[in-house]
Amino acid sequence: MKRPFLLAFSPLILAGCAVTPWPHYEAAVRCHMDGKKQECDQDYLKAIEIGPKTQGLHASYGVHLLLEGRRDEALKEFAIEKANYPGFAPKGIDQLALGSATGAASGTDSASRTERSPR
Amino acid sequence: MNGFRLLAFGGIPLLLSACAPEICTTSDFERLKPRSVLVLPPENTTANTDVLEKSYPFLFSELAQRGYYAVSPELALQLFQANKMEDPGRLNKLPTGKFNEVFGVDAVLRTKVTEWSSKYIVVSSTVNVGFDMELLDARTGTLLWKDSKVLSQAPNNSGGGLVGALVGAALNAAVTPYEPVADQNAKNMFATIPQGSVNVVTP
Repeated sequence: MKRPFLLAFSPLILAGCAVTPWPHYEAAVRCHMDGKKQECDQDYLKAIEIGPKTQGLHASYGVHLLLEGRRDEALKEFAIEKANYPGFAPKGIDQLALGSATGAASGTDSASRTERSPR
Repeated sequence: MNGFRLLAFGGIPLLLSACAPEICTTSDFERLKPRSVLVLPPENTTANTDVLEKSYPFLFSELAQRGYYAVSPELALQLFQANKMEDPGRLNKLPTGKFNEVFGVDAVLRTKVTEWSSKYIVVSSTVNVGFDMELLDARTGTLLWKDSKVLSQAPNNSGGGLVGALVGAALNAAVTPYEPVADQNAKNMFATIPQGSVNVVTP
């Protein structure tokens, strides 16, 4: 009885222990919104390491890199997102990639990008 | 033994389904079956000033983990900023078709933060976080799902007798971590949306 029981429930037990990229991804988004720049890289990279196909993650990291002036790396991240999620990756990525939606896309650093008036 | 097996394997799905939250989408949800969603920055109707930064990342993450392709907050915020549309209140009033045009999404999630407070009453403190949310079809603006919930949770104030409880409650009220309560509230609310089919993580 013990073995079938364990076999039947092991996927549930393992699922409970599974490491997911989401805590790091959330931390990276929060860090980006706080305007901390380079500090955020480690959370983005950790999330990518755990879940390289996590939806939205490469688009997120791409935007972050773009705003740091790392355009070539950003474009690579956008390309990965599009390859991972064809038909889903938002149109807005192209707008950013073309540089029409950010000063940073042309190499300038927009330090005030996350400064929003308190609401 | 056979009876036990029957109970264990036959009864568990029944028990689990009894715990499952009720799905409360509109009939249009089934018809339109959205797969990609733009989570708009939450509109803050409370007195707290840092609600957007605290709540936006997990609203996005919880919906994505529910199986929907959610547009990343960084991308959304950057495009809104480029279009000088950063105020969540104004964004919530825009016709949804605009978001379909810019982001190519199937649906738009509007969120209002209605409660973000802690109450401290003598020896106990409570954290209250409330959201009003609605999911709309991006092309037509048709309502697909709507929910409104306030979650109240008391941080653990135990230990140290009466004085300890008083100090604990005061400390909890002063350094209240709202995020876990808000995250749980969002998770509970999204549990009433059918599980999406977008593969969220394939490590």
